[in-house]
Amino acid sequence: MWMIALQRFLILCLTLVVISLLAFLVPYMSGGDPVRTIVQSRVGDMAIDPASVETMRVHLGLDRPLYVQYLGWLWSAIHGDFGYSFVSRSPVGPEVARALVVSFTLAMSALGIALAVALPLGTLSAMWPGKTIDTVATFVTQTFVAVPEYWFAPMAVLVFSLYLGILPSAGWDGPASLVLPALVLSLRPLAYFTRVSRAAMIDVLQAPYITAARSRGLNMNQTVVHHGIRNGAMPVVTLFALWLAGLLGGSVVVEVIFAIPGMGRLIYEAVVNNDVPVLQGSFVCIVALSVLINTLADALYILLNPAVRIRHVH
Amino acid sequence: MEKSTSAAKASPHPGEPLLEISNLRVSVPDAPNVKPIIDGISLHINAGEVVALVGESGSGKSMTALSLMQLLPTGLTTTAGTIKFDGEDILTMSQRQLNHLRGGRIAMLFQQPQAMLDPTSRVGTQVAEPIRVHRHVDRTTARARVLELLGEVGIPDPGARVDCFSYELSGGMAQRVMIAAALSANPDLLIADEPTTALDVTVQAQILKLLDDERRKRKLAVLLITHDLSIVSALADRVAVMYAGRIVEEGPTQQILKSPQHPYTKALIQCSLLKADSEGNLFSIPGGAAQARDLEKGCRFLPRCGTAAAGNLHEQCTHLEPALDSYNDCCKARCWAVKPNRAHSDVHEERRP
Repeated sequence: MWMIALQRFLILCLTLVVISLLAFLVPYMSGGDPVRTIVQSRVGDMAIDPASVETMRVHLGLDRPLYVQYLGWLWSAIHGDFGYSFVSRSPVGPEVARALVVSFTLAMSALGIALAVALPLGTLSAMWPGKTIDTVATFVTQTFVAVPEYWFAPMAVLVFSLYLGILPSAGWDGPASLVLPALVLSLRPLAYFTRVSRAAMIDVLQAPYITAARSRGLNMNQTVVHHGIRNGAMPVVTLFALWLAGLLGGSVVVEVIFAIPGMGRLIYEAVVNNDVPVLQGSFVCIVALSVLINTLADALYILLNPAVRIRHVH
Repeated sequence: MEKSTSAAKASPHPGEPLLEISNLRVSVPDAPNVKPIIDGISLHINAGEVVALVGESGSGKSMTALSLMQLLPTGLTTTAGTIKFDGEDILTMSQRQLNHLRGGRIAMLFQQPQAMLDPTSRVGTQVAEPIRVHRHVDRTTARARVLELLGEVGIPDPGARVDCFSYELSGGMAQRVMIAAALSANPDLLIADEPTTALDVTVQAQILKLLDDERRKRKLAVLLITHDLSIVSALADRVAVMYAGRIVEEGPTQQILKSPQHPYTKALIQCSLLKADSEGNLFSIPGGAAQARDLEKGCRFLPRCGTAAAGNLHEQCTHLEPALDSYNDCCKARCWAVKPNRAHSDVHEERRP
């Protein structure tokens, strides 16, 4: 057990080092001399004085060897200091933290909705494959996968904000403003969760221990509740973690459409404005969090299915 | 032991067998070309009696067991016959009645005990299910009863084992747990489908001893499914030999094992003796059971029949299937070479080409 934990921790550290290195190299990979770019932006259309470029380089510490710069940057990053945004001139750390909280809230709400619908729907489809519920579920999930969010989002606004007027159309102001974006964002994971839990549950329902449970007198519903769902939910747990990690920085479309100050929009704007410190900070934070979430998901998986414990050891 | 529940064991239909299977057929309705898996078997078990069903893999033994529980795998259904349990036909029961029967009056043991336990559910929870479902007892009472049962089936330190998961148990321990679960609601009939096949030889003996003790103590009727004739001779009162979905010989264990009449039964016994011929080869029955189902007519065992191969081929063997006829006051065989004793023939099956 401890060996697994240690192994996981080492993998986590290694991933973070690689990622921080990549993030550090972003400005160098984008081509051109960043110092020249900065000086150019200060003088406008006028010719640049090469001496001032070198002064600036020394002032910024960019004349030091690359690895010294990296270690310095890493040391600050570990302390949450990613420098200042080129656009807002405010520290990147708190800005990313605020956006992360927003995106995390949004992603968890969306995935919560997805899970709450998908597990029962997938289970019911698996219990009656080919019957009405299964056909409906197949149709609905196919639609959710095929139709993009930028269609669902305006439609949701149209119906709930304009016609019915019960929910705000945009912004981040209290639980009511969370409903529509979470709903729209939940559709795609909902579809995948349903398909995966259906497939898993079909396998589970053919497992010997299900027959054994029936032979003890449990009816179909009791059997599914007591011996089916936990086993059938295993693959969904892994999928949930993957989606959570993905949505943290990946809900760009929904965040932009609903004007939500989350990671997706932060990154989108940073890219548009070439705001390198914000990009670096977001990048490192999202990857670190993703790795952490997946590690936690593995732990949860082990909690749900005790038999995995020995499979790992042997 | 609660004795109160076992009072229900007095059959309301005295004189009638506890279980009576008549002309049961199990087939694959979606595949009309596939021959029935079980083709018209009839068998009865009296209260407190142990009946063994023997035959090689694929003969339909396990499917017979699952059809008694109405838990056949999807795609298979009982298409003909009746299964009367305590006077009532299982095949016409509602799901509700079946749920009441399963685990309550008929319990089942399976071949792979560890695979039969839910890996995510604690052992005690699963053992308690029949009591919880059928006797409607609360959690605390159920747990006390489970501890008692686990001790009874020989699990050391039940207090610690009750909260184990299946992967923490050995095969023998898992089968003991399954036995505790099966016995927990005090059933009348236990179906044991190869209960020791997956276990070590030493553990096999312990489990069989446990089963024998429990069934004597509880006056349980047992349908014992096995391919191991030594288990049959140790435990069973009567034995039915199954071949390719049909019963080919049936009678009291001692008589059948001592003087088998059907060539298949003879061959099975030969195999179980593990005798080698002059060249050191163990005896085995040539061919496989699968080909029997493809026969259009005649005796299903003919392609592998030693009697026929030795030149005692009867005219009818190739084109007519023999009926299961009595050959003395207690035994029946399905073979043209066995002289039927009409005086004892009570069931006249329709002879099918």
